[in-house]
Amino acid sequence: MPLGPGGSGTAASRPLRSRTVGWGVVAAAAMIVMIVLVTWKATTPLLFLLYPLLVLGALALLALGALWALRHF
Amino acid sequence: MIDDDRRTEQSKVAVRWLVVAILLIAAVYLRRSGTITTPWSVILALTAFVAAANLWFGVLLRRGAAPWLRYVTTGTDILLISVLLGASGGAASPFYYVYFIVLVSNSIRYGMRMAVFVALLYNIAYVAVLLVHPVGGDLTMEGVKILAFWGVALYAGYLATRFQRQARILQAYEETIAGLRSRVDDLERRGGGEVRD
Repeated sequence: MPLGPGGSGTAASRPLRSRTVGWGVVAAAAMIVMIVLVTWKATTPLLFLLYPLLVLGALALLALGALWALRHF
Repeated sequence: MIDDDRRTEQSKVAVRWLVVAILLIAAVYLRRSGTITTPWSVILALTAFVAAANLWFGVLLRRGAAPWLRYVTTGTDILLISVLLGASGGAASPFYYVYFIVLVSNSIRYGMRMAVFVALLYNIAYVAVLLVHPVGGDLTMEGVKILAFWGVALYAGYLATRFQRQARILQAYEETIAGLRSRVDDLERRGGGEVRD
């Protein structure tokens, strides 16, 4: 599969496949939805303990997707 | 690196004395005016504990700063602020914003890793405060406050990381220039000043 402008090598040589990154972005979106739901519907403060996991997870997965799209790896 | 840490922690000790003095004055004023109902014994005990901890940090720093010390001092600060918050009305405490002093000062000094550490600790400590002092009813505002803190932490950490990278690049340039200058001087000494022309 040929790469777009600025790319090098083939898609097969990239360490992450587009499907993996795609699932990562979907997981990030799900985490953002969960952040909204926890904030909106929380009945106990204990649910706020999920924030570190959700915030850092969503950011990490979105960064992974962005870097993959920019062909950093 | 260790000397840098030591200087940074020493400056934190000095700032901590200042913040403790201001907080003590504020707590006494708010207690006398009836805005908070924190017992005098708690105010005095907290002040004494912070003073003792700060003295201990000062003694430790005379021997140098271990890499873990920054996390201990920051963790102690967050913990003590949370106790202050718990004793002065929980989520409604006028001392809530003191968390941000710890966050910003440490994030700017130490970068993203420390920013995430502070946000993580704050998240856990603030949930504990909310459990001890239940808000009652809708918790959305408290969730938004925690998320806002995460936002400030990550942004401050990102900016600090950028500044640190620029400082490293600048240092590399300075070293390169110094190296080139010494080579030029060396060549001039050997070739009789023809290189500079």
